[in-house]
Amino acid sequence: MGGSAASKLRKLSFYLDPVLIAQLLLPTTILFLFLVAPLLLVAYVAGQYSIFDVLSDPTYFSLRPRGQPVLILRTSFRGREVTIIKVVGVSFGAVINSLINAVIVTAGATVLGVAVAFVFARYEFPGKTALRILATMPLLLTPFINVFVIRKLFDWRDGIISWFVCDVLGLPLRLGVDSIAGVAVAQIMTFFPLVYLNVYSSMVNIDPSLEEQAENLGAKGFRLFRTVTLPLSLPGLAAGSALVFIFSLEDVAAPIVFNEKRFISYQVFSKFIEATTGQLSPVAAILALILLLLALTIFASIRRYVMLRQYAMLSRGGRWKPRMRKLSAKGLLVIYLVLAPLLVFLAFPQLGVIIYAFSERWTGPLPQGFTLKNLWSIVEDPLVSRAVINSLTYSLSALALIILLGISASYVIARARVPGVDLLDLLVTSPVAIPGLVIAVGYFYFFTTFFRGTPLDPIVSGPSLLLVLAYSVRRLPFTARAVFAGLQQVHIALEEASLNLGAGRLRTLVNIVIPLISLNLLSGALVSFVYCMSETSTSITLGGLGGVGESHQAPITFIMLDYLNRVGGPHIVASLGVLLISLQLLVITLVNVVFKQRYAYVGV
Amino acid sequence: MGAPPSNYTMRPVNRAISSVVLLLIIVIGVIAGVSIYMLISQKPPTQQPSKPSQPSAGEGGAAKGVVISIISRHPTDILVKAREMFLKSELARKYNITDIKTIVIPPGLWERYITSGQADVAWGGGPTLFDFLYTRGLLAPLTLPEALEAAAQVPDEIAGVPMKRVGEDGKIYWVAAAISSFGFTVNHERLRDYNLTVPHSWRDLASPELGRPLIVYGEAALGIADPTQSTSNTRMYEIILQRYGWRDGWKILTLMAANAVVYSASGDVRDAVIRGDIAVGITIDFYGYTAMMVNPSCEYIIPKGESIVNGDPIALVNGSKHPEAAQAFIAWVLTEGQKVWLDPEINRLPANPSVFDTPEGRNRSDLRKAYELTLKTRAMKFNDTLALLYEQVMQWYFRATLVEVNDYLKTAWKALLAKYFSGAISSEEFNKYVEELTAPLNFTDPSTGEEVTFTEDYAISICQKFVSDASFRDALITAWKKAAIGKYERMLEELGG
Repeated sequence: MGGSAASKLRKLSFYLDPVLIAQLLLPTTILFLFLVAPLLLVAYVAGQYSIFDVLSDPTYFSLRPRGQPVLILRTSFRGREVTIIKVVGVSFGAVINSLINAVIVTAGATVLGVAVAFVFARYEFPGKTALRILATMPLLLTPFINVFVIRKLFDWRDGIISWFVCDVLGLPLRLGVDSIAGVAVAQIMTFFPLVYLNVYSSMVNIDPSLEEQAENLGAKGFRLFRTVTLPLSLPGLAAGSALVFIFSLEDVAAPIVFNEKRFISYQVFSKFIEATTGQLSPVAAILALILLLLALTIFASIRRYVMLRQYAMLSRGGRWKPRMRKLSAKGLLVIYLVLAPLLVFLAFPQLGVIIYAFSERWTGPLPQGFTLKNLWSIVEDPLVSRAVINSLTYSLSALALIILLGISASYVIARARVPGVDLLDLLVTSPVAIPGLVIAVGYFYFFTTFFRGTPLDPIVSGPSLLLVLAYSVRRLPFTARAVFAGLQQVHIALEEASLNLGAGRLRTLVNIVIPLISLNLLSGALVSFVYCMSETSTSITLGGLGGVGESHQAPITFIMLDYLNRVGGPHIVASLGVLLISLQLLVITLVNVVFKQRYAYVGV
Repeated sequence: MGAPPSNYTMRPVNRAISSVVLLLIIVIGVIAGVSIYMLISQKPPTQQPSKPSQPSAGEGGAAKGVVISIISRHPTDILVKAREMFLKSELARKYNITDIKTIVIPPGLWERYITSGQADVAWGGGPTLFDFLYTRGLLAPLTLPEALEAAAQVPDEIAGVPMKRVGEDGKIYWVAAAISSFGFTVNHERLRDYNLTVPHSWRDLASPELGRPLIVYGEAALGIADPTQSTSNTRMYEIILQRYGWRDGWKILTLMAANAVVYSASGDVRDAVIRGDIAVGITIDFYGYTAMMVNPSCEYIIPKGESIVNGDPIALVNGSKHPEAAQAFIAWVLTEGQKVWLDPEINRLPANPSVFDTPEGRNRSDLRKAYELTLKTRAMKFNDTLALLYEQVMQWYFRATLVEVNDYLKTAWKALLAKYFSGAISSEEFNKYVEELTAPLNFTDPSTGEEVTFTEDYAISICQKFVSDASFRDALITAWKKAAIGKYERMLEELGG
């Protein structure tokens, strides 16, 4: 007993050198200060107000649905008898709407994602690479403007679908999706690749012999899929759909563009916008807390798939030659007539953003004219160019912090056997699940309460610093994960050799460890960077605290929202969308092709 | 842990490259961090030497040049355009103004910005906001000869409304730089699509006729904005309340909200009309003129005898570090700078009509026509003081009972319309139901626990407390929401739907 305790102590003392302690303390302190404390403050403020006032308010919480989910109207429109089918959805109040919406979006994205993943993982056919690229296109983030395009698609009057069905095909039918249903459809279209990518990587990692055995025992077709393939893909499925659920809950872009106020995210956002004219309503804190608790519940259920230690185990693989089958003629027909058009349709918002950026006008169903003027305004319009410079500055500053924190935290988690490492692991990975809006509300309380009147008060000096901190915390998991994966591949003996030869921890870290994992680090950092550039929820809330002018401090996404309701503005927003798309493509190419890093560049 | 992965065989060149890139990122990141720090802390040091009492355009400023700060509620495109034009102007050169910094911030923060010395000029945001600043002693009178001369070119009154705020000391504290009327913009194409006639009065916007598309197409034909987010929409609701009186005014506002999509900002309403999401949107005049430029099927309509003309002010703020340069800018805005309004993307009506005699002005005969029409508009008598007495209460009552519970209101209204159009109820019955639906609410006042009716007197009596006491405000809003939902649901039950 005593001996083992002594040896434990000796082991502990091995890790208690100044460098490791600093590496442990730095990320812990920063994450406590700029993640945990603001969130606790949200909970505290929410506690000052009665939660029952929110729960008894039927605009937040009601068990009776309002509205008709689908309107079918036979009437005359533009001198013609037509049937109008409009899907709008019903409302149960903001809180329940957000929940139901997240469930529907998750289900929709899961069905789509699994189907697409299965086809790509099991079948070989000409044109597959092109389709695989198409399937990941919706992941190219173009805040607001992609939803703008989706809305254009589904307007029953001048929308592209109705125009095609009614004016081109000549059918007496007009189709539309709007309001609550519009938000759901937009989110399904945007988020389904999260499921697809995660399930796909699970499926290609399944030991082929398992499926072969099942086949030998007589399982075939859907039965084989249902009883063997799908259960074995569950880790990817769980992680992917949980992420979709969380992203759907916190998404504010779709509700804003559809002018649909009956969601928690929109309520928190609009209360925040009002806060700049006075004080932040305590209801915002309660709603933010509800949002946080919902997201954290889901996160807890998939924690074992996203935490650094476990993630490394899961993402290993590709040792088998995956089972690929050639498709029959009938199968090919399904691929080209169903899957390909479906994927084109799902990628249309991103294509539409590009078209929008290069067109002069797009008021009716079809765009008109070609111009480079919109793209040029990124440089020429002082507000826009300022926003681009701001975003670059914030993202790069955040990146410096992210790299420092990412290396420190991952190294400690990977190497040090000291108590409390799991907590750090949790802290580092949890930002994936914490809605940005809640962070924004927390920062607002935190910095205007404890730093009132100091240069850290965003109302005094603008939001620059807050944004850098928010970006650092929110995008840390991408880098931390990449570094951790790198450390897993570096044998500890190399470090031990260095230590034995007399080098200190710091020297070993700088001369041995970091060079060995530099590709992982760089890839992770690039991914963090590109998601800082396109960060939305804290940018459109905190980002506006300094006002807008030539020397404003707002980032790209804030200006995108601001320009959305401006005459001709959507074209400029689309140009910024194109800028973000290009950045993301560049990073994806660098990471996957040049650095040859194999890990999902989004989501988990 | 498994076989040694391939990373060991990484080529040294690769490693070198990636290390360099990494190092670069960190260096750039640090530089970026430092520049942010400088950005945050840049304000105080630059202005140290100049004393507030000294004319800043003097010898001291000559070498460095003066930068003036403007706080505004104008859309940023106006400010960008103005900056571009002003910096090229004679006045900018004369007063050695090398740059202007414009910043758009919410009205709630203006006082803090002005008192902390971060602003020289306040520009745009409507007379109510500027009168508020004036009463708080945050504005300074014009003294520079050029500015006074420019102010003299602006008429003292347009359509019975003062274009200047003259203090008890006889000095000018704000001057209108632009004028606006209030009305609505229609999209004729969409009106035709929905078989609607063109509305001409606020009452037309509250008609069951305009509600018909709700039944026939499942689509609201009207667009309005949340008054807590839009000062121009607030003004329009105040106009309606004064034109029709409290009781009938709320009847019209309620039915308008029932007929409408409620947007958060007034700019959204304009865009929705342009796109054709709605057939009619209530807008300030220049949004209407812009809509007409962008989409020829749009038209701005001033309801006859039911609109007012507003002067949108510009003023020197108290505590400006460069009072002379700031007034030079004001002088420019009131004279040469009036051309900013003529930009085809801005389309505002100038306060100084002499701009129509310039070559640029002659090119905008459409705006000149609109200007003359506005002068001739039979404006109504509008009591600004009265509107201010209940402004915040009105805004939040509107929001609580008409915006936040809009789907309850709409469901009841649609049920009523459906019965009316199908002939199931007579027009007397319909009117009786409408009275019931739109009557001012009865609710329990959270501070006294008494049952009260939302009358004009009541609104005025609670306004002070409502503004200063956040918990009273929240409790009242909750009470309004509940009472409103109760009323709308009762109506739905009576109609048996």
